[in-house]
Amino acid sequence: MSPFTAGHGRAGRVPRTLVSIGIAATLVAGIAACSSGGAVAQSSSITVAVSSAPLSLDPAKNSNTADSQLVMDLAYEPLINLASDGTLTPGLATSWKYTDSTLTTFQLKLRSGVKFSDGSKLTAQTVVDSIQHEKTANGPVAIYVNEIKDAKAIDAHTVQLDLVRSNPTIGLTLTQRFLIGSIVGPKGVANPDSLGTSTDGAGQYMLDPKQTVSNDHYTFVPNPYYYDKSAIHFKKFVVRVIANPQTALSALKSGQISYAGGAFSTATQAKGDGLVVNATASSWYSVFLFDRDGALAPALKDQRVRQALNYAIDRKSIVKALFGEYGTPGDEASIKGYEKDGFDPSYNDHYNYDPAKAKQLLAAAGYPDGFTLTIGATAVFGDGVELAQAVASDWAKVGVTAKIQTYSTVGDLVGPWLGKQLSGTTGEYDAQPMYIFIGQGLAKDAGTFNPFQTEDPKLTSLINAAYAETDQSKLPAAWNAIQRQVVDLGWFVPVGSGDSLYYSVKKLKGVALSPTAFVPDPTRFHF
Amino acid sequence: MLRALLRRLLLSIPLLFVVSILTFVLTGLTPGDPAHTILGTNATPAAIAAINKTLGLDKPIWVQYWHWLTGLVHGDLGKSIFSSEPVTTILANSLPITLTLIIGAVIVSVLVGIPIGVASAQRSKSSGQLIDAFSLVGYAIPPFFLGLLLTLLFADTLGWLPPSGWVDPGEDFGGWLLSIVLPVLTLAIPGAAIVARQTRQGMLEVLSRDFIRSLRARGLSGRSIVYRHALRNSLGNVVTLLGLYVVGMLLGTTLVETVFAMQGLGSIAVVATNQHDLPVLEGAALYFTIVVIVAFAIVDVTRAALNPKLRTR
Repeated sequence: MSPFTAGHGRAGRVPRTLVSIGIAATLVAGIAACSSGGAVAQSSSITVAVSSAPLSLDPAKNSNTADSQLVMDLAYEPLINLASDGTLTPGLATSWKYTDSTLTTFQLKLRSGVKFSDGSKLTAQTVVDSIQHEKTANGPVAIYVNEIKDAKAIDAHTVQLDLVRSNPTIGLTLTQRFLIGSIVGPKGVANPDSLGTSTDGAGQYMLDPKQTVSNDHYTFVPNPYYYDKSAIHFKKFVVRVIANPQTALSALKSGQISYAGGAFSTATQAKGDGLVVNATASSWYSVFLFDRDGALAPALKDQRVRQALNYAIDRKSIVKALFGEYGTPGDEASIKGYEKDGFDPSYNDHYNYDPAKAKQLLAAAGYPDGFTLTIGATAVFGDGVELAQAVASDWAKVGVTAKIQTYSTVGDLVGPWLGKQLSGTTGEYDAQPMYIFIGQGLAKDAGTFNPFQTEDPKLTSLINAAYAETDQSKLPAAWNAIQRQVVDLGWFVPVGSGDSLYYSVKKLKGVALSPTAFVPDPTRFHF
Repeated sequence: MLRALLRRLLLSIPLLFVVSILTFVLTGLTPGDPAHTILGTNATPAAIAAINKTLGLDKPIWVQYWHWLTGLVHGDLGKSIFSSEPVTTILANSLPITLTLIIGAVIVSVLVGIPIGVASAQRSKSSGQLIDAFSLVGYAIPPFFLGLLLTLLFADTLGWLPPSGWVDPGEDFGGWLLSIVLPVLTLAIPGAAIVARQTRQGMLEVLSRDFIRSLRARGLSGRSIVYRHALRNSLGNVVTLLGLYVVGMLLGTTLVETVFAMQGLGSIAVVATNQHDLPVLEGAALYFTIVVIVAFAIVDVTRAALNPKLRTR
């Protein structure tokens, strides 16, 4: 009988409602008691979360974002392992060296007795085939693998890489951070489509397709052929996709997951909730000015104008507002921790906040009343929209108007960006050794971060000098000289460095990171 | 009735066709493409061209559509551009999640909303105002916000329910029940408010009719009048409203699935839209349309069951 039936007295209704609530609560409690759904993961298994699903399970078609890297690390052991302190340690290769003084030939000695999860043996030829697969896949990491002109099997366990030019960073490029050292087994190379729903690596784990639902969760089980079974800490490693940071935080608190990527907006809350906030400086956040020849906004052709844009922003306030305690103001196209690879501490804070000087420079360049430029931004690329608004607010004080075009995704932003429709964009750039940054953002043919193919004679000369330098001890000075010229040119308007953040429960150990290895290696996790 | 249903189902075929064309055209008109999504900030014009060629995206859109349509005729919805997984497999994983949330929300809305509506129709004016207020709040509160509030209370603070994720009922039935409580409640609270308000209004209208007075005069019990006659006559509009609510809920599930990290149809469609994964997006659009068609067919059948006059049309 319904408690709401006409004619029933109030006295009879209230207790029944309470009884109903009681029954419902008992049912929920009972179900909770017999369910494993909300329980903390057992030591034999672990569940972690990423904010987005990997683009593919094929390293050649994946991007080297933190989320993708975590999934790839489980199944694909790299040729060279990037330890949490940033040093290079053995992976599938036990040793490596340049075999010539020009740093254009690199040899790796492979570990013997290694098998892929499909049971095939690791040989020099499988490495060569995997690198060839990466070259033909045209994936996001193609820009790194294209540094390799040719890969040869010298003998069964020796691989030689011929490089397109003198490259002092090829060892780092072959680590898990850049994915091209994540070698795919022969069956995967022969049938790349199979790598959409399965893995074929020589890593600790392999995907269990039966326990996996794409875009929702990926279940990994130990690779039965892994060469060091004692290093495998879990019988089951589940990676869930939780896009909403608040939901990820709730899942961590409830014990559903043990680890997740963090965000500046939730870091304080995570700390307050008793979670471990693992942080390291990893990226520099900036307005990337592309229109350096003034094709869209003629004012930008003048170096004084670009310098004025740098003087006009209050980095300390912006960094504090956007990143809180997890940011450091700076104006170099690099971050602390890369002192040997292009970060020059003596030149940092070159552009101290000085709106008066900014106005002087604008006036001297013929723009006393400022000018207008259009920049692109997306919230999912370095908190780009907030960053753009903060910078635009400071620029407005010196008469410069920034029209902000916002986009939903990085992919949507990159179209007009490469199509030369934007004078610049906001975003973050994972700090790289200067050699790699030159290839992406400074050289005339750099591509993505130099879409207008701007060239500065002095910068080109410094780059060529660094390329020609074969004495590795002299390279840091060469990289620093390039950095100083980049700062002087004002091609970028950096605001500073921001940390990579990862949350973990207290009992999870092995979550370690540094500015070079800013994505924790999940194969080191243990309870 | 059967003929009308068959006619509606036949009319849905051109509707599906139009939806598929619109999805293709609108996706083609929106900025971005899969190549830019894949390459991100590592994109170069040469790499973009190479990917477009590999995926067949360099061909005119009508050629791509024809290719997709011929596949559809053979029951093949294509493969995801990113995971290479068959679209039918992806949707087969996500459809049960969305249907569970919708059906669960409809059941809870009816079980809660109708008794409240019936009771309030027989009580004072103030209870009606309370129902109106409940309805307004229930309808106005965004599902995203409501979901976060419920999570904060029942998962974060009380720890009674899991805050996220879908559990396969075949593997853990109890876990499955717990996992759907919060998302279903999130969708059902506005639904119950709407159903309660509509039921109350319908009941008040029916209870004021002459035939009710005649029934009272014949000595029928109040209970029989309310449930056998008044409620039955006032439910037609409630059912129609529920049909419309289910359609509205399809959008609601997209947000709720995001809050509770469930890969239902809505989440799949959002990811596919962001990635420009056209085969998956086409499949999701078709499934959404079919859900709408089925929902309205169920509305027709239910209304006919409640009202004998409709069965002869």
